[in-house]
Order: sequence, then C-alpha cells, then structure tokens
Amino acid sequence: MNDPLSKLKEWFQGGSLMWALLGLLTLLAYDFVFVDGFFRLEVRDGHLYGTVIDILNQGSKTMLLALGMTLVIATGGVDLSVGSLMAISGALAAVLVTQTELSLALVIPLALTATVLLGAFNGMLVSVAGIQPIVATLILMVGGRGIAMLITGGQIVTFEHTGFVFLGNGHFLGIPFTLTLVLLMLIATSLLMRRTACGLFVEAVGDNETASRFSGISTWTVKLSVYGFSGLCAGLAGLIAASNIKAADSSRVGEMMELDAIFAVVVGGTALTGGRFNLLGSIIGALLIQTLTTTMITQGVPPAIAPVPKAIVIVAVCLLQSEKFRTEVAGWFGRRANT
Amino acid sequence: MLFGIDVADSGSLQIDGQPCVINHPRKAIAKGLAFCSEDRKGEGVIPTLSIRENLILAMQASRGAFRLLLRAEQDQLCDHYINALNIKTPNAATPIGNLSGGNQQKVLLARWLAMQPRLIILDEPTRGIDVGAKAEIEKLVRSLREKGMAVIFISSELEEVVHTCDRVAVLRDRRKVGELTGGEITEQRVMELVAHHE
Repeated sequence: MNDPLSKLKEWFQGGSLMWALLGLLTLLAYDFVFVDGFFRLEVRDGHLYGTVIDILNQGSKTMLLALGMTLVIATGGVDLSVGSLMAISGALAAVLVTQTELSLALVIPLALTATVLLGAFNGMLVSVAGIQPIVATLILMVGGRGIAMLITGGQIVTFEHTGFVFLGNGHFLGIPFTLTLVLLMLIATSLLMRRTACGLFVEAVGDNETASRFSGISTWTVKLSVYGFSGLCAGLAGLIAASNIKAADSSRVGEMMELDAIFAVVVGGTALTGGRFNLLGSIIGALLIQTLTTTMITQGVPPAIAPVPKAIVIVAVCLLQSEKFRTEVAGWFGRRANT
Repeated sequence: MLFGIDVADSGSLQIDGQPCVINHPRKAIAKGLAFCSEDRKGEGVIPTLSIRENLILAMQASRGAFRLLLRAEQDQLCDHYINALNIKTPNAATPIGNLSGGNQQKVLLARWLAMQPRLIILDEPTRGIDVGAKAEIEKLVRSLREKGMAVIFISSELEEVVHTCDRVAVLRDRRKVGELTGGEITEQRVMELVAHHE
C-alpha cells in the first residue's frame, strides 16, 4: 500500500485510463505507419521541433480546459462557457497590453481574476440559484463572446509584446513553454486534490450531494470553487491562444473547444454523472483529440469533413468504455465459440 | 429539523440552556449533534467511494478541506470501527456500494461515532437490513447509552423500541401524544397511546 507506484495509482483512480490510452496508441501506431516522419524530432537553436512536439503544444489549451472541466464534471456539472471565457481573457490581456502601460506581471493576474470571477458566477447560478449546469453555463457561453467583443471594441487587437508572445510561442528548457505550464497545472491540481481533502469533497458531492451536505460538507462552496477553477484554466488557455496568434480574435478563439474538453474528460474515464475523477485520464483524452486533429491535417483531410472521422473515433472510444457494450460483444464471440 | 435540514414552523431550541438556531447540518455538527438518516441510499452513503472515505467524511468535513487527516489516522479509525462494529468487508478500500445494507449502515454509524457526538439521532437505523445486523445495531445503541451518549432512536418497530429505550415519546400526526419512562415502556402501553387519542 505504501510503495510510490500504488500511491500514485490511488491519486488517479477514477475510471479506467486504459481505453483512452488504447485509443491514443492506436492512433499513434497509424501515424507511425502512414505519416512520413511523424516521430522525427529536430533540434534547432537548442529547441525541440517535430510533429509530436506540435501536438503537445497545440493540445496545451485543450489539456488546460480539460483539467478544470474534470473537476466540474466530477461534481455532476458541466461548463459550456470555457470557450467564451478564453475569448474574454485573451481580449482583456491584449487590450491591457496594447493600450495601457501595465506590466505583464499585472496584466496576466488581472485577466485570470476576471475569468475566475466569471467562473464563480457560473458556480453561483448552479449552487445557490439551483439552475441546471448546462443552462447556467450556456448563459456565459453565448454572452461571454459578446463581453469579449465589447472589450476589444469589435476589432481584432494585435500586439507585439515580447513577454506575452513568449507565453504561447516561447521555449523553456528546449520544450515549448506551454507544455511547462500544462505540466505545472497538472501537478498543482493533483496536489491540491489529493494532498488536501478537496478531491474527496468534490467526489462526494458529485456522487451523492444530499449525503455530502448531511455529513457537514458545504456543497455550495465546493461547486463555486470548481467552476471558479474551471474559469482559471479557461483564462490560462485563452492567454495562450491569444499569444499563439499575437492577437485577440474574440469571435473565433476557443470556438467549440468546450466540447473538445468535455470529450477529453469523458474519454479519460470521468463519468458525466459525477463522482470519481481522473485528471491524468483527461490529459490523455485531450492528447487523443489533438493527435486526431493533427493526423487529419497531415493526411490532407479537408477541414469541412474533418468532423466525420473525429466523430467515428469518439463513438469508438465511448463504446469501448461502455461496460454494457463490452459484455454484449463478448457475448457474441462467446456464442460463436459455442456453436 | 433539529439537524438544520428543514426549517421549523415554530418552537425554540436550547443547548446547555443557550437558545440557538441551527439552519445547516454544519452548525448542528459543530454543536455536537449527529444524524443518521432513514434514507440510507439517498441521504447516507456515497456509493462509489470507499469505506474509508465514507467513514472519515463527517470528520474531514468538520476539519475543513485543507487539514487532511493523516493517512495513518484514517487507517487507524477504519481498523478500529471495522473491528468494533464487526463490519464485514475484505478491506477498507472496498466501495461502500458493494456492501450489504446492514454493513453500509454500520459504516454510516461509524462515520458519526468517529465524531464523538453528544447526541446522535438514529432515524430508523434498522430499516431494510438483515436480522443479524439489526440485533448488532440494537446492541450497539444500548452500549452507547451505557457510555453516556444521548441517543434519539426513531423507529416504527415497537419491539426494538421497547428493547432499547429509556424514555419513549409517542408521536402521532406530528404531535406528541404521550411519554413513557422506565418500567412503563411496554408494547401494550405504546399501542394504547397511539390508538387512544382522537
């Protein structure tokens, strides 16, 4: 019970990692065979380049969103507003960087505070007002983009700020800085959840809210916090997205990313009904999506029909996860063996 | 109502002579109360979490999120209560949902006993569990009483009420229709009180 490996297992025990990993490995095997130089890595100016690094770099936003989304889903909720919150943090940071003299050390916390507060607003609607999460977060999903537009005045705000550009394009110890960020967030979130009782409370509230309240857990604080945390993750992802293109494009950034994040979480073994969660699984789920997207680009699949193969993979992984489906299939094979 | 789940229509509450208002379970727990619901599935167990996590839940909640009980303390608590209450399980990591009703009930009792409450409210604690566990729970309640813990034992089974209680208040249609103590407590007397008043 006390060796490090089983301890680590206990940290990431929600659901099964196996199916997400299986999907990812299958996809990577396909890429290995059919895509030329998929695993080739190059070192230029001391920085690592290659398709795999690209996937990790591009997937950083989905991975961040998935971290926050995991906790929200673990409480039995869902956060549809993350894409719009990305737009807001990007817009706010871009405007502050171009139109004021504030240093980046102030701009980033400001932008993140804004999204945390908006996330907490979602949490208020869900926990205090008792609105269904899907409806409550839909409000900001639709309205958030409008707020971002208001901040930028409907324009695409471009910037050349060195520090801000570094955030999404820089390298740290040879690997993209975004990856460092994701890694730090994963470690910080895991520590927060498993070295304190936060993880226990999140899972308890998601599994049986009434029983949790009767045991003395302040359920509304738990919910408020996870939506706020999801806001933080969305804010970070929004900063990276703006930095990537050196501009705040309020109408396009983070579009449909909430769905990618939800998918990443579900594939990663956290049930939409709440309860046990698995942060590592969500990260792998996010990588699965990004690998799929990148594979389709390298294979020259036209963007217009790209959702079709994506949907097929999603259905496949979800079917594999369904215990009912698996026993059914096992039944078919069993019967054939008997006859 | 006493535990801060529902709001009282009228009346007042005094603890140690101090009037107080309890409007959330957290406050009740802080005052040393504990409540084991009759709806074990809906208001008691967290089915996919382990016995250990279910057992420490109330204790951890009262400590707050950032003062996690040491793992050694958690294991010690689990070992203690699994032995003391004779909970039948392979180990403390088993999800509570896999246990029988009686053993689930024992884990919930342990959750509250770990808090060492001054008053524990047991609402139909023996409902829907097997005869063996039922007898064990009745025995447990009697031993708690002997240790000096106040127990409110809510039940609609007369036999176990007569076996377990020192003082019986009979309620009918939300009103108290009589109170019995000591030797007065017989099934006969309780039935009379229930049936007598119009």
